[in-house]
Amino acid sequence: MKEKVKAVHYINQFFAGLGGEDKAEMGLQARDGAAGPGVGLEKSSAGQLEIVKTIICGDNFFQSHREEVLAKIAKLVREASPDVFIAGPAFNAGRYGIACREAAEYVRAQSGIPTVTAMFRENPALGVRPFNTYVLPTEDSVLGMGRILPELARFACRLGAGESIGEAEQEGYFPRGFRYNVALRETAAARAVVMLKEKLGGKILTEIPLPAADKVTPPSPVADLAKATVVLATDGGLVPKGNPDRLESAYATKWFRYSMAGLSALEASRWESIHGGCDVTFINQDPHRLLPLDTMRSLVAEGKVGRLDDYFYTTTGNGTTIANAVRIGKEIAAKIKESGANAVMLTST
Amino acid sequence: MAKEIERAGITTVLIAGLPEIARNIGVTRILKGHAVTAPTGNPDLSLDEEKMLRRKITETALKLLTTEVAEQLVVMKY
Repeated sequence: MKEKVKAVHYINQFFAGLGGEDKAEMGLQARDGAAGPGVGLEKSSAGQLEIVKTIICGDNFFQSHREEVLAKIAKLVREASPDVFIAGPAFNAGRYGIACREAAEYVRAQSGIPTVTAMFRENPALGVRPFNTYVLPTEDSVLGMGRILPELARFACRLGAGESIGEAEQEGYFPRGFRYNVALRETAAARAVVMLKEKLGGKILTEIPLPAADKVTPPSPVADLAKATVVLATDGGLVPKGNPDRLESAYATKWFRYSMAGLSALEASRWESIHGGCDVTFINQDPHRLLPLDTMRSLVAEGKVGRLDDYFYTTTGNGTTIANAVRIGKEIAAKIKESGANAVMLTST
Repeated sequence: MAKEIERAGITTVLIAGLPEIARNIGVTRILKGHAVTAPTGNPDLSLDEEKMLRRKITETALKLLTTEVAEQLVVMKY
């Protein structure tokens, strides 16, 4: 690996130092050379890696202009003709993770150039396999930047140099979901006997891990809305102004329910969103943009909906660990079931 | 949250800023909201227009609640 490996690097507005949630709507920009964590990537590659182009895009803009953005990225990559395409690292940022994955997969599909990105194992972008890109695991926050940069740089250099990459278990990237045929020395019968012996000893081995399918039986539809009680809920972190119960803005472990009894509207002076993962300006100007109380009151008055429950349920869906999310969901479900409501309308940022 | 409420047998509709994530997780009834920053509103509209939009979104969401679904229903417009 004597020659430098040329790379194009994709990052979001935050890591480019252009702003936080307030700049998530910004469009695509391209710069020569490295920016943000790209500088760190080059540094930790001991001069091996050269980022010739950095592509920057707002996380929200990517979502709302996906096709246009992907086409532009593909064009910029074609023009730069790099050896490898790198995106992120995204850590636990959902929209950024999605953008990284989609950009990497698109570049791979369009140009054949190898790609790599990096994110936390619970990033929603990892939801569905297979990945048409390599994804390295990171910690759940930027505190992990120091650790991932040299690994990402090294992996990118190997890809760019045309090195073949081994299995996920050996190399440490997330299994991509592809199955390859491999010739083994032992016959299946011999391997099965080994696995049976281990199983009798209490150790479960498998050559094909079954995916953890978590299916829920679809609840039956509401028979008659005019007779039903509907409950409003949100994971947009809507709380009374001042957040008296201290609902977390991220990594929530709590949920609350607040009474709307007697209220025909949610006034901006009395409610706010403390969601730390997106720009809550619009919601704080008018909380109905998150919880449609005004509309529901009208629908009940018109007889279209039987009743609106007095309480709305709230938590913050921002980097919530899966374990906590399941627990919070179960607790809220139990409370709602206790109340005898027929249906829930859940709004999510 | 949606899946746990569904697991308890309560019919749920999710108005989602990011419907694809909800789809991957396997929520049964999903309606795309207007945007991450305003799922049931649109700050670019006048208040009257916004209320009309909110009504459309809410009514479509209620429609999903009364719709029989075998596995998953993801609706992207209202």
